Amino acid sequence: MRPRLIIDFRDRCLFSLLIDGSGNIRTCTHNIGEYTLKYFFGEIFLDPDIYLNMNEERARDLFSRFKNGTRDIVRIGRENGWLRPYRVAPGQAALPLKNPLHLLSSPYLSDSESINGLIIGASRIILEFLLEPVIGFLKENEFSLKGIDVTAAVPSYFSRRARLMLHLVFRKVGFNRTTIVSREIAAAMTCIESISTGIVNILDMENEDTHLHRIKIDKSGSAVQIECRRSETIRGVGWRPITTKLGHLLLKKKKIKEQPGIYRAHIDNAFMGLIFDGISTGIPSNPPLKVTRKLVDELLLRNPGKRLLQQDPFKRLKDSLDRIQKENETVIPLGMPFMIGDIETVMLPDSIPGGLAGLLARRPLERTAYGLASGFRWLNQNPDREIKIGDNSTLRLVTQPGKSAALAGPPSFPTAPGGRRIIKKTFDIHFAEDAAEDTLYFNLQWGGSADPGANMNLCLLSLNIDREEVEKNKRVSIVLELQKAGTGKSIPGRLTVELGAKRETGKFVVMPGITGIGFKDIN
Amino acid sequence: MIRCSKCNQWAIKDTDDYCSFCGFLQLDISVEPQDIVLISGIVAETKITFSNSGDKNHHIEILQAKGNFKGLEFSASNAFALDAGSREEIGIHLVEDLLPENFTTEELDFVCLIDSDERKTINFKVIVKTGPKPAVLIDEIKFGDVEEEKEIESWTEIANKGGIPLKIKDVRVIGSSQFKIESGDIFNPIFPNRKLRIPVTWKSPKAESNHKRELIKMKVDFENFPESLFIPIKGRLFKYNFRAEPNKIQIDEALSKQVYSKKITLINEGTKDVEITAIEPDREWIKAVSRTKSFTLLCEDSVSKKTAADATVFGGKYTFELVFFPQKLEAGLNKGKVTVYTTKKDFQVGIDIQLFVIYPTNCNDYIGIDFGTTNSVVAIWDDEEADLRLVEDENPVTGSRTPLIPSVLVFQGRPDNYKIGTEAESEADVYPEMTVRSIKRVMGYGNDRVFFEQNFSPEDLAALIIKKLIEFAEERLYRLNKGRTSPYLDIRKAIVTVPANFYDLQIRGILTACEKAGIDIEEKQAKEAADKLKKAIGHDINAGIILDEPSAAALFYLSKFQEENKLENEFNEKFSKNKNIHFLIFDYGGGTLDVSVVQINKLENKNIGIKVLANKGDNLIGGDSIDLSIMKELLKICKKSVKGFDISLVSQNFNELEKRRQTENWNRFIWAEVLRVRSQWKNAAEKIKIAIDKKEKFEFKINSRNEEIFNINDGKLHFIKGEFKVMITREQVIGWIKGLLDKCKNVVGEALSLADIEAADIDYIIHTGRSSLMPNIQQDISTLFRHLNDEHVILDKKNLKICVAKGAALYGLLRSGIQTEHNVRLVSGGRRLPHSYGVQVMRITKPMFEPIIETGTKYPTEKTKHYDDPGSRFLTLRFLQNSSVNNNIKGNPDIRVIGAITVDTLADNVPGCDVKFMIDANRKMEVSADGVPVQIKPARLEDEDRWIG
Repeated sequence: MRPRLIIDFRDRCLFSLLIDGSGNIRTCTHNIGEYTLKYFFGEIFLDPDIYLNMNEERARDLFSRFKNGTRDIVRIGRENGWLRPYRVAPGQAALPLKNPLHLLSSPYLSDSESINGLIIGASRIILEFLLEPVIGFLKENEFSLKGIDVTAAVPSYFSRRARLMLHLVFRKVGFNRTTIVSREIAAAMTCIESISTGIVNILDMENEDTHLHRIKIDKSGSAVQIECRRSETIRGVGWRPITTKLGHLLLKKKKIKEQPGIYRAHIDNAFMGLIFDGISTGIPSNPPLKVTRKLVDELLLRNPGKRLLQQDPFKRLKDSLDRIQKENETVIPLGMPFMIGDIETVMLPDSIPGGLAGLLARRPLERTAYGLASGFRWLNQNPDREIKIGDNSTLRLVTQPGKSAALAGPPSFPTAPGGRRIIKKTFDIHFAEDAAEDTLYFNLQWGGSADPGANMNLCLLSLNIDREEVEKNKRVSIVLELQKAGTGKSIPGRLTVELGAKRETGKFVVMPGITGIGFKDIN
Repeated sequence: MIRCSKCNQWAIKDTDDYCSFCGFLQLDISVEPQDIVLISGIVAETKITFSNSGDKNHHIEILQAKGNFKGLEFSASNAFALDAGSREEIGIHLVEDLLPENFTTEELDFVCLIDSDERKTINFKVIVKTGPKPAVLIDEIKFGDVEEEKEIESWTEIANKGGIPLKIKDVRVIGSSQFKIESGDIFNPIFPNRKLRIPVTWKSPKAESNHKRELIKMKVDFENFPESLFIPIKGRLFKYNFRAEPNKIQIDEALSKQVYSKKITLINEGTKDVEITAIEPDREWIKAVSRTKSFTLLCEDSVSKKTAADATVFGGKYTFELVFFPQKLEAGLNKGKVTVYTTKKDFQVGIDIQLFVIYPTNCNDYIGIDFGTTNSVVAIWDDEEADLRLVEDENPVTGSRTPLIPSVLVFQGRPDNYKIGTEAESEADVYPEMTVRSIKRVMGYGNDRVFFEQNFSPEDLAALIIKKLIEFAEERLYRLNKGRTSPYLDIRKAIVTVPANFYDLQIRGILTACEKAGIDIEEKQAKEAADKLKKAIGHDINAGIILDEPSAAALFYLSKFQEENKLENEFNEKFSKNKNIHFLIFDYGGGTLDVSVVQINKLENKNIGIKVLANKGDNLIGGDSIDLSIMKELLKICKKSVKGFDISLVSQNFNELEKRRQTENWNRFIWAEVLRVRSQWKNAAEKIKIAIDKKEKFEFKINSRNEEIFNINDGKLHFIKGEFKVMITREQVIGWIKGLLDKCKNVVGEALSLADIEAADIDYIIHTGRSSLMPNIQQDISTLFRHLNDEHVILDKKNLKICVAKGAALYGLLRSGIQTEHNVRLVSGGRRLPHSYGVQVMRITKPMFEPIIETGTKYPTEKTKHYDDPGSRFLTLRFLQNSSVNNNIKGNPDIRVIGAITVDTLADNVPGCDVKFMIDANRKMEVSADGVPVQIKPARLEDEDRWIG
């Protein structure tokens, strides 16, 4: 069998496994000094000294390098002033760079070709820089990249552009085949052997928000169908809010030394140090704050930690989890916050049924990758086996903050190559009472979640309106024109929004069902 | 005629069944029951009875009213005769095999056609249902890995896919008594298309090492379903047996200035892999040094299955180190704890630490430190025995002891945890990137190294080594002094030796290192002591803590001769004739050659003075340079015989090699291999150098087993198979190093000329330094001093390597008790600088060296020169030192850049700048511009980089 690299792309760190030709699983590691680390940093900082002192000519030169590509990514990265967290000097005002995959998934990405070109060029090289330690591991262990298939787990909301970028980067660095799987599906594969048919809930905590996915696993004969049935996004529950609150509690309780000039970044570093072992890896913290697991556990298992979870927005999450637990359903927690002390126990007492205890003994940052590895192991046991990834996505429109409504689903899509469909909808609009003018945003998404947070952004249009127009026309019409591509499964489309004489049009592409090598699509 | 039962008229003919009056059909046929329920598996057949109470015979045919349901059969047949007054029982059978797929229930209407007359019918109804149909939704009850003596719950789910409620009669576990079934709701009927969860609790027993796997299953019996269900129960019993060895550390005598370390082994003897998530000390003074703190420790079973290497997975055992820093603690008992956390929430291992900390009292004695390029030696004065002792370094493996402490430093996991000496030497090959060697060569220069993302100057690194040497000495003294009132002494006083030709910048570097290492550099006291002694003995006295190595050697031998009464007569005779005695000290070390001319004077108050007349040296012809020359010749021969060997990987200097590493993107394994092979070749050359002293011929052999012949292609290392063998003769080797030997003689000549004496004035030659043992060197030098007999050429093999340290300790002893009588003194007056100091100037377009302080100038000295650059407010000066008389900078290897300064010439509102150069008694150079001290930014010695790695 071909070796397979599994990468879980989290917003602030990456975890990677290699399944070698004999089916052995190896953890990808990198060395910082004498220290071996299995978590790769998923963020880059910008050295302001280099960035601010860069003259125009140099900046142009860098841009041309983006276009031409380069072999020595580490050198170029350093010249550009990109620093990995452990290279940021204590006290240095380094700015974190926005993760390019998140940037490419943003609905606000400009339409301007030149700006897009720049962002795409920069994203590619930043991603290469981020991936370099993983590639370094493979090269050091004398694996030929060409012979390795890659499977990357990404959040469901990563846009097509971000996914294509990942494909491009993996191909450029030398891999042959890449499969991209949504993280919740990947993590649910943890249960592929233990559950015949049932529900698995994936609790995925990111930097700012938490996504709770309800995944159905259905095994019949030699096929397993895995499908996300419902997603919920709990905003304000994530690494940043949790570490900020815990950090302040620790300061308040005088568990860590209060010193002048403690900023959010220092608290963040101190907690990051807990995961990446700050002292050994040299993650700077200035003034030096040291958070220990003992301190966090003391806090969490006593009243302050419990009280914290009784407050919104943590309470919202707790309520959802209580509902799940009443049904005796399995919950798989993922993400960096669960690596902090006993948060998992505090949030999810007894969440892990006996049969899964062994599987979930892995750390929360590793579960997605090991989930995928379980999926591959199950597939490899019998050539007749297949994993079908279901997709209950529809075209949706964000109607208000935190809400989206379905516009059309695959049954109303053209099926024959070249086939066309036009879908029209109208919406009532209301004008804010005291405003004379306003801008309406139309964010078209692809996904199955009522909360826009877990859906993929496709197209964003805006209409500037005034009171007179709204009073005259009251209804805005939305037209979706879909035409199935002559080859392949993609359906390019056009979104038109109209209010009276005002009209805006934008393009998008949908791919009903995300498929990949090793997995079969049910659509 | 018959009377109609409806209209009561006699209107029915005997031959007919219809009332001719009202048309009522008069039938005496009935069917019982009219509503029938058949349930597959339970009531699969029944009978219906047809009765003919009339007096006519009839024929009956049973037909389905609509549809074509195939699951029912009639016996004997659905068509039969029913004679007058008779009864007929017809069987109805449910044929399960013919039931449609997923069939649950159906209501069927049947018509009984009498005498084939469609007007004559009677009906009955059959409801067909499948029986309760249990289906297992979770076909295996999985407990996964279950820890011993725990209660774990798992479950199975049974659905009823049948048409009627399913009732459970009994559920039990077969094959084990450890399982309990909650019987609460399980006996309630399971309605069609509903499911029931049956929870099972496993009260796991204590795990035995030879735990047998048994087939355990759950048996479910139903009241209304004939077959029992068997559901396998699967789970693996395991036990955690994870511990730390040792789990308690107690250090009863923790000397506050020492750093202690203990190795801890984590052992997994259980039957389950353990995921370690953190190793966390609870006190600041405890540090855990571990290559990784998040890893898997496999159990025995997994170790046997594991085939692929994984840097975060360890088989059964993992060793890390705990380092304790008692200097952060109060004296007395201190307690701490280190916790090893695992993913298992209630499972962690603690290591209790107890340190009884002892603080030192001040030590008034000096120790002598010979801080060498390759090895260092430390001598201490033992008051009780009134003798000099050497601090010994212990080999951690063999337990053997040696006073030669390798000047090698290896960092271990953290910037404040490092080892020096033999222990470091043995680990240097394992961690070449964390190793520092030969730091003395770049002392004072800008050859910084980076470890743990921190910058370390050569002074910082030397300070770490010196600090450790002092700690070694303190520990040695502690052992010597045990039982005395103050066994633990805080050493702050040390005499540190430097090569005689050390440049000012290097001396400054050593002083900085000493200061950083905690040594009191005593500038103020040194001046006071020098003034006091000058009054008593009438000479300038060298009173700094830095001592020239030849002076230290001279002091040692002079003191030794005095002790042995060896040369007293000869000395007295010369002194009585008002003659001075001259020693030539030929110190041939690993890195450098130093030649000093020393004059022994008679001083007042029965003191003997040692006056250094001249120091001359060469940093490029030390023993290492000889090894390099031999190595290069060997490589040349080897290249001729072995195809594909890239000798540049061994012969290139460190800097070039590092550039190549970056360009060719070598990974760290390749880098470590290259460093290993380079060191192997150098060791091989050194072996030849030593062997050839004793033998005429020596066979040099390298084979592919040792992997010393290789090349690098496409970022991969290729070892070349085969063997390379060559016979080396002494003559050949002497030929290879002849150039270097000639240079040695030149240095001697220069030293004599600097001292302004003839070769014939030399009374004794003292050979010191480890390279003095090299063949031919003594003979070569002796050719210059034919007037000296063997007794006057001293090569004291026993003290060869330690005389400098002992001399330094003696000197310290003299300093600590400043007596004014019967002592050997180092007289500082009359010492001359071995090189000239100056700045770079442009003569037309040629950069030239402009001397400010000339070679041979007596020091301490100071000179001021005015500089002005009318074109610019800021003046940049490059400081140079020149060890030759050629002042042309371009291509001159004898001129070295010390550093540079930029001064604001208008800082004092007066144009231009007075730059003052001062060289003090320690030969440390200070520069001030318009009276303000200037920090010299040291240059980097590129050539020396090859050695420090």
